Amino acid sequence: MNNAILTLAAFTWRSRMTNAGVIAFAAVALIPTFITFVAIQYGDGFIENPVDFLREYIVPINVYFTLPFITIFLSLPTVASLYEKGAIAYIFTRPIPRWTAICGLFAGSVVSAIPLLLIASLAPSLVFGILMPGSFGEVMNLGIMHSLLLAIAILPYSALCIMFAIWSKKPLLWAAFFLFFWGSVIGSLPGDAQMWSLHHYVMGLAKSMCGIEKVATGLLPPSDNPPADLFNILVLSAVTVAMIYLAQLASKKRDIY
Amino acid sequence: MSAPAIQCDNLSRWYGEVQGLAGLTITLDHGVFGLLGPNGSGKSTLMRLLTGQIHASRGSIKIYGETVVPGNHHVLRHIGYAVGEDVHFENERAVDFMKMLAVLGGDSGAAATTRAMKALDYMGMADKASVRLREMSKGMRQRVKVAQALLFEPDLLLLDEPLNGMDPINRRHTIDCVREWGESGRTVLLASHVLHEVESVTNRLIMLHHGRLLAEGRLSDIRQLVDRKPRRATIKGDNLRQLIAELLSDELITGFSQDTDNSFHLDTFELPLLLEKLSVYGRNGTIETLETDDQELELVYSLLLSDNA
Repeated sequence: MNNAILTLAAFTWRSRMTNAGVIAFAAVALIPTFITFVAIQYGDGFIENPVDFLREYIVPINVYFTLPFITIFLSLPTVASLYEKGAIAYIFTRPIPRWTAICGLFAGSVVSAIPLLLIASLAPSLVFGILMPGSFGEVMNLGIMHSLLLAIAILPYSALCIMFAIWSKKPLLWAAFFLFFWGSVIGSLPGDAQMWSLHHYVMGLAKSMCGIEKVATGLLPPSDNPPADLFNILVLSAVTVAMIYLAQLASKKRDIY
Repeated sequence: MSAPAIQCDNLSRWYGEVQGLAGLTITLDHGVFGLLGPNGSGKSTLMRLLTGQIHASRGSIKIYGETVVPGNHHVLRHIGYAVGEDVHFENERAVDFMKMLAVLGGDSGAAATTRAMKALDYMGMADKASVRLREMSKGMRQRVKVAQALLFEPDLLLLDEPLNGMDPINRRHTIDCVREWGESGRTVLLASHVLHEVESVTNRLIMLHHGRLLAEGRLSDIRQLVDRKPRRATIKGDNLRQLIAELLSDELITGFSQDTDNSFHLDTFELPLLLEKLSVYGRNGTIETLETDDQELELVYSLLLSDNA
């Protein structure tokens, strides 16, 4: 891979993971594990089937909340803070194409988010594996598929955030709108609008990869007829590439102060 | 390279209704040039335009014949640029920061480390390579900023207020480096709002005021302009009439005016001699206060502005 992309990815990783804020992100990523632990220890027989619990509670929590939260508050500041401080000038005044720099920052933000998403997806399965050893194989299989799902979903989510960070001076509002409201809410409501939400395609993959049929709260359920897996992956990949492309276009339009 | 290092043609930049730079036309070849102006005069705007960070509202810029626009990265291989603001990569160690920029400039692994250390060493920062930028003083970070601009030994060095926050020794060292760079046949554009800083590096000036080109040329020419204007010293005290009569008869002053508070404004073409005389006279306590303008930026600007007017 291009040296410039690697070095910017490494820089992003260092700046994100050596920051004290990473403790707060780890705490958020541990919320599903905490819920799992409380349900097992104090649920008084609430959990009949660990796999169903993970499918109905933990996977939806991560897709509806943890994934957008970590993307917005970890990936978005990767670029937004460089613009705010004017530090992006050090990168954009080097003789490299803008898309190379953006790919490096994007790669770094994804790589920084993945350990947190692994905590969010694998740790609840591990808790089941330890406290309810009989279900170990099944919950770990689900945990791995769950991790893979989040690792795929972080790509378009992160690319979208980076595009907003470059295109807008108020990226947080845009990202929150598109990932939470337009994502988790509109993407779950019946009707044609959900086709325009990334969440719809992520939940389509969740259905086939993790066997999600319903969510425990009954609110914002997954679509009964999600698109085929190949189409979901195609849409998510296309959005990732499109957002990186738009981000580099935006970087040429936006002035650096 | 046959094309001029910098060629700006009718270059303008507006920030909404605020004029950042207005109709600047300059051509710079090789050597050191001082870009002088008070805060808000357009120095940083020009630097940003030259490095493709912002769009021109009107006009064009060419660096060694290549047009500069945001996103044209090819032209940036000629340029080393020290940003006016602080470094902002606080968590990075100096060597990591420099290595990252060396890789972005085209180096790989070991070559980037060697280049980073060489540039840090040139700026006397090799022993601080492992220190994080947040742990450095402002002056040290300024030296890192200049070092990163020198990484690839660029043909064109753009330094935006590089001496701010430096102690006198490092200031001297940096000035020597800049001068050496200019003498090697390259081009350096040094932005500053302090005349004597620029004067210590170069005799060639570009002076901006409210985004407009106020003067361009040799500092000595501007000095001559200054010398053609009477200078003013203001003294205050009791019983100064006898002194003023002496100064007039000695032709040390060409005229004077008096304020109601017993202060006298003295016009002179011989300011050093006048100050010498006043200091002798002042020893007896007759002169309470003595103020004088100087040949610093403010005076040069007021003179140039009055000439332009």
